[in-house]
Amino acid sequence: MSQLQTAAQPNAEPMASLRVQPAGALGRTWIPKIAILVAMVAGFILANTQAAISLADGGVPLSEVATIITKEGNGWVMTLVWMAGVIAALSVLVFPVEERFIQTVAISLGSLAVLILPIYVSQNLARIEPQGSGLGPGLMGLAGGFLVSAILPWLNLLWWNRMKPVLGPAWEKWLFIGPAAFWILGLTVFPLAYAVTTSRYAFRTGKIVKDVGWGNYRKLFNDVMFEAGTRTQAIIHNVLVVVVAAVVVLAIGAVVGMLTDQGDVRQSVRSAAKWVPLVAVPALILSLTGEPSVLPSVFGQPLPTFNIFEKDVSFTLSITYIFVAGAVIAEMILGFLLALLFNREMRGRSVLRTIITLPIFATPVAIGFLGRTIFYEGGGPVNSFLQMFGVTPPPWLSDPTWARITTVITDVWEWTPLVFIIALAGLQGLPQDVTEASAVDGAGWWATLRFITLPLMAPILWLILLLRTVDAFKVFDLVVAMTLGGPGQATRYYSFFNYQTARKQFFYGEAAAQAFLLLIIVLILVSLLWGRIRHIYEDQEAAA
Amino acid sequence: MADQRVHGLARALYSGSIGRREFMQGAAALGLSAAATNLFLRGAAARQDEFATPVPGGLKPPVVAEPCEGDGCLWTGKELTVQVIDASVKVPLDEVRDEFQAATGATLTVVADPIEGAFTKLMDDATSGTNAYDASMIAMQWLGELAEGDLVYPLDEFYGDTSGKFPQYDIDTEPESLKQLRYYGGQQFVVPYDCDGQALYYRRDLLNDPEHAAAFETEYGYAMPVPPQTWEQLRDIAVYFNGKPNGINGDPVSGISLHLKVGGQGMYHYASLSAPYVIGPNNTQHYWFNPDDMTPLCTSPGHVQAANLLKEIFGLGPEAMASWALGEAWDYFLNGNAVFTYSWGDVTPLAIEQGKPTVGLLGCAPLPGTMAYTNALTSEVNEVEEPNIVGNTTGGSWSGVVMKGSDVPDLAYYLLALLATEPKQRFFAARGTDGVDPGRSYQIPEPVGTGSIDDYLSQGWDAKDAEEYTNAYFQTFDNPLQLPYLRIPGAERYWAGLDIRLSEFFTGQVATAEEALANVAADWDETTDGLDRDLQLASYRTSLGLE
Repeated sequence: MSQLQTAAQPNAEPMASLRVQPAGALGRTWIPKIAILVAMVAGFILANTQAAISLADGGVPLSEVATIITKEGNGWVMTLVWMAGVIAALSVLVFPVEERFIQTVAISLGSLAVLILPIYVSQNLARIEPQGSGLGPGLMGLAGGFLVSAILPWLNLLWWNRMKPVLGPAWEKWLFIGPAAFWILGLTVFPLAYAVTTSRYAFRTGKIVKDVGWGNYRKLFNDVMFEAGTRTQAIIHNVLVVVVAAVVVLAIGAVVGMLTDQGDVRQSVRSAAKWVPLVAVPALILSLTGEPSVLPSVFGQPLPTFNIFEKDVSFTLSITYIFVAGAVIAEMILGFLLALLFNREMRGRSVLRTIITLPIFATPVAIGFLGRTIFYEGGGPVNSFLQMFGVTPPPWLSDPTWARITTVITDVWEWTPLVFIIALAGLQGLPQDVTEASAVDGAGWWATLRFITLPLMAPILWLILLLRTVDAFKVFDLVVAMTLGGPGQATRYYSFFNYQTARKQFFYGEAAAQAFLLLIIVLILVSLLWGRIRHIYEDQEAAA
Repeated sequence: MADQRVHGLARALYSGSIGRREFMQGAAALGLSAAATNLFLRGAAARQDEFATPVPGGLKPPVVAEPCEGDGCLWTGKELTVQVIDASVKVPLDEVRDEFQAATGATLTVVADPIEGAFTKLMDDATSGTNAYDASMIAMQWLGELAEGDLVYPLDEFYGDTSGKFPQYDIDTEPESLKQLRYYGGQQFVVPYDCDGQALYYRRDLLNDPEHAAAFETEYGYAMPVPPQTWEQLRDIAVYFNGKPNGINGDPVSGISLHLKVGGQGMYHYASLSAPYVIGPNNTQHYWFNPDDMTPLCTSPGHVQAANLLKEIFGLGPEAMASWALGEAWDYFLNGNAVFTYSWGDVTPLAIEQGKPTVGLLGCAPLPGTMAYTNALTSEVNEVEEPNIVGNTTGGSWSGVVMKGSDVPDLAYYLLALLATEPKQRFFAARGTDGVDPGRSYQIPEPVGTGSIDDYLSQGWDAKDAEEYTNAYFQTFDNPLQLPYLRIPGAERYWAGLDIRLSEFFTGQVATAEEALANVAADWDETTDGLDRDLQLASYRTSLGLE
């Protein structure tokens, strides 16, 4: 965008004018960006290839300096520096042109924050490297590169591409967004970045021993990639898992079409196709990361699986998937059915509703202790009850399979009321005229549910599914109170496994890497669910 | 935060330190629902032993320190914070507070952390530089981590101070097996407090019954040895009694009662049982790792044999043992439901304290041995004429360390030394229910030790029970053959690997002992590499006294 264009169209939206700007204007936009990025990259390259501290005979590389700084308990320095560098670089690329002022501030602040490292090292040189004679060319280069990248955006804003108003349109919004942005950067992004720093180190006696690079991430991956069979068989199996998942979804769509959609199979299959990613992607994750001995085996023996993770990691992931699927599906079905049941006039409804919701008001660890007490094998209430009827009680907590079932039951007991409350609120908010009209048209209970209630409730149900899925992946309190992960590691769900690695065994670097793995898996699933929710809203808006 | 408070409230209820009314008031304040509160109250009856923090009653421990006056109060205005696990071993710290404060002019705060998180909190406190704890009553397996991390204070200087500044105790009254746990790399880091080791508890009435003895001999072709001298004999006796009337109320009795819940210290059963299959006169040290390269030795034939035998005897108790914590296994045994258990020194005292039906019926002996052991390094089988019995110091042997970050290390040492004085230790050992178990010579009655049986009789012990009990522990600790104690950095992870893999084996998730122990070895190798093999090797050799 140029001054001329702005002057010619004073009321025009600046971004709109940018879309048609001539090649010269594009150059004026991109040359400063490229110059800033070049300065940053040059600083980065120099820092990582040249000595950070000069010695009489050579120098100390940056990786060693970083380890020393982090070992002495000042890991925040390296974290802040690389995080600020990344933010500065991203700010060059992601801000739209109308946000030029805040872009300049972000690039400049990020670049200046990177300068903390050379300043810190020069001030603590005697402690970091007693033999050091001063900053080496690496850190000098870093300082130079990022000093340039801190200044260039201002030159661009105020001189090379100067525009009026300097602050850009609607700059006031940053007065409101700014504090929130700093809050998120400080309390969410920085801890996450700190975890990345932590994940690069090996610990011993609770202290950093050495920089292992990405070794803690490599450790997550399997040495033996295949549980059985050959590489080809394993890869074929993984592909088959995805194909079978897709085919099953389409087949269900076809059957539903034949039974309910007036025989329009093609339309029904097309509808079902929207569900394929939602099933096939988790199936792929499951087959890539799960352990065959835990997952159901179709042919009675473990199938060859291209299992990418280390044995304990894939085992704990597998049982976590089972827990999440079992608990969340049961909670969704039970909660929704209860909501349907209570969405009508009935005697004592408010009392019953209150009683049903009680478990969510207790802390999860209390529910865990109660679960352990209730399912206690030596005379707990459930076993006493079963024995009254001559039923031999199952080994609730001492058998691996039953222990998993018991934790799922306890989780269902605790969280079904949440699904119930939200679903009931959703049902009570549905427009009555639609259901009344369907009743007038002669629709029965099932037809009303299938064609009226469920479609209208879909956004709410998907949202609950999203919340419960994310939460179920974090199951921890129940395990601590009920089983401590046993018997064996039958209920060592991933969050508890991660906790043990960090807090019981002090392998903080490894634990940080494990945590990122879970974050990535959950993010994939969440984005799938969000995608689904977005489609539903779009469909509903289109229909409206 | 709320979780911890609910946890603490439940513990207090289960231990009996608060009543139902106080629990309900606390629960209401925390927002627990009425249904949840009610279930807690019902659960308290079923599980009251698991979190037992006994409230001492009756006799009080002797006062040793004189109150100070004026300039004699060396620490006036100072504050001392001591960490201890929220279990019976914390009782003496609460009791000593007034005496300590009067003698020093300082203020004592005792922080009781749940056992599951105590070490984590201690490490967090020390490594983060918070330094809230001046001292801690630690499990000896934590010492490697703390000493090598330079987190605890060497105590040789204080121990050698005979100026009268500190209460005096004699560390040489401890048997060598325990005494060496108090040192690391040649320096004393620990003030002795508790003495832990596992011994065999058995139903003396059942095993000495002539009818059973005759029937056993008919069935097995040899006279029932009381107590059993080998693990195979114990298995035979347990098989014989399994399902027979318990001799108390006629209910069927189990062969054995063990706690094997993962995370519940169940793997100690394996360590104690397997020791005589591996350790013997020709191999006194090589149990955990090859001291030349840290290769795990747990896949050796002796270990495999022991794991198989433990699985056999696991089948002679309730299946629920796989999910039992310590209290549940003790309770089952003390109510007369099992013929054997093997555990720490709390069993007989608990029976007395809680008035269990087995009081006066409990025999106690050193753990059985084997008639052959296999050198874990060479796989050489050594047959022996007499049972190869190996002592153990399995367990925490909870004792005091002074934290490096403390600004009052001398005051911290004063408290620990006060608790270690002979008059107090004689009292604690005989009371039993405070979790401070006997081991030092003056805690063992004459003629075996230098103590008095009167210490025990005055606290309600049956004379025979006390004699067998103290003799068993004397023989366990005084045995020149000992299960080496694993206390190198990463000990928690090594123990966890053993715990989990054995539980998988006992509950059928892994088919064979060989496979289970191979998994243990793989875990241990991974841990060793993760902590740096060379550093771990040096630590291991130091812990064995090889360097």
